Amino acid sequence: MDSARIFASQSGKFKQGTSELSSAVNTAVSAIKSNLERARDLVRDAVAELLASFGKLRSVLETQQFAINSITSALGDNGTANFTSAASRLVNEFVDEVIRVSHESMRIIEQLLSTSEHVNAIVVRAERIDSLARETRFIALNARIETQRAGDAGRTFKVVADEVKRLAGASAELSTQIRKEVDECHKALGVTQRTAEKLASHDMSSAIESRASLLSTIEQLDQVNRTVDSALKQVGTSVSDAIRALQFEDMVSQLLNDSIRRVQSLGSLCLEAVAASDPQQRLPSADMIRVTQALRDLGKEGSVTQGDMTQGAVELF
Amino acid sequence: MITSDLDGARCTIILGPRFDFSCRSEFRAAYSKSPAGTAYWVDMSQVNYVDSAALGMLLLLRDHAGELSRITIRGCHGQPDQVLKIANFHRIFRFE
Repeated sequence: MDSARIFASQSGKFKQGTSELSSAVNTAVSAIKSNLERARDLVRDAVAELLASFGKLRSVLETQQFAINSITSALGDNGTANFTSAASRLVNEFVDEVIRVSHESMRIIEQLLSTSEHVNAIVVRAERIDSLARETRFIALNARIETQRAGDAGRTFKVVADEVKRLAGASAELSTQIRKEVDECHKALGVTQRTAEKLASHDMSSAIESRASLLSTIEQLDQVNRTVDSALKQVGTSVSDAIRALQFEDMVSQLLNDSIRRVQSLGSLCLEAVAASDPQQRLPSADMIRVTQALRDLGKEGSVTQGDMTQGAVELF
Repeated sequence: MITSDLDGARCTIILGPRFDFSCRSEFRAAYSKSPAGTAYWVDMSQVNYVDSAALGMLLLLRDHAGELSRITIRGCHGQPDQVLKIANFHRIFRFE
């Protein structure tokens, strides 16, 4: 075989090789590109769905927070603290009222006893009237006997003696009436005293128990309220953090788009490199040098960095 | 059962286990003879039950003694202590 035929045969094989190489590069580049595009779309769709879910969660939380707030505001401007003080005030007012009634009733009883003593003094006076009436009747009796002795001279005086006896009887009758009235008075005082006694004496155990149970109920209510409130706030913060974290999708998309662009450039540069290669040349051609430089630049070009994430305390990369 | 002892300007009243309405006349007798300016010591260490009448009676003692007088309640515990606390008596009586 002469050298020209050997060269032609070698050149044909070389061309076939470069053509196969180009086709392989094209296939590989488009496979990588399609994978990257698919990854980008998957991330975008997933993040969109997550954002929608977190958005709904946040609106549910806001509704709950609103419900809790409306309960606390119903309890007063200052929440359960106001309710607590109002309830304690109510219990205290009730207790104060019981004590006031008891105090006044005890005073009334003291006054009734003092009244009772005065009434007893009336009884003593009535008894004195009785004894005076008895003595007067006795004197009248003696006077009558004397008038009989005196005969006719005593006749007028007998009328006087009879009149004195009648008055003594009337006094005794009056004294009996007084004592009857005093008895009624005593009975009435007794009834009043028993009524006052009922007002004065109350068992205080129920007041102690109601106060204790009221205070513990309020404390529990307050505790539940605070727990729910703080839990809701925590969940709210987490949801906001999650929503902010989901902004990573932006960066991932940028990175993937950049990668797609680079892979495409890499593909075309590879093809150019293949085209520029010539087995006859001993030194690198100008095209080869240019392609090499372009590939170096492709490796160096600025990439997407974390600084591009405008908001967010969350570190993603 | 209430015992009392008036020693100069100091009147000590020792209460029994139940301090309720039934003690009214005994309690009144315990302080009614004390002159103005007497300092009162009400010993409640034996008391284990009081009703609202007891509160009324203590207030009557204060009425008798005058607002500025010194009334000391000592040895108060258990149910009586709870009742006296609810009644805010710690504001108007001295406790020890």
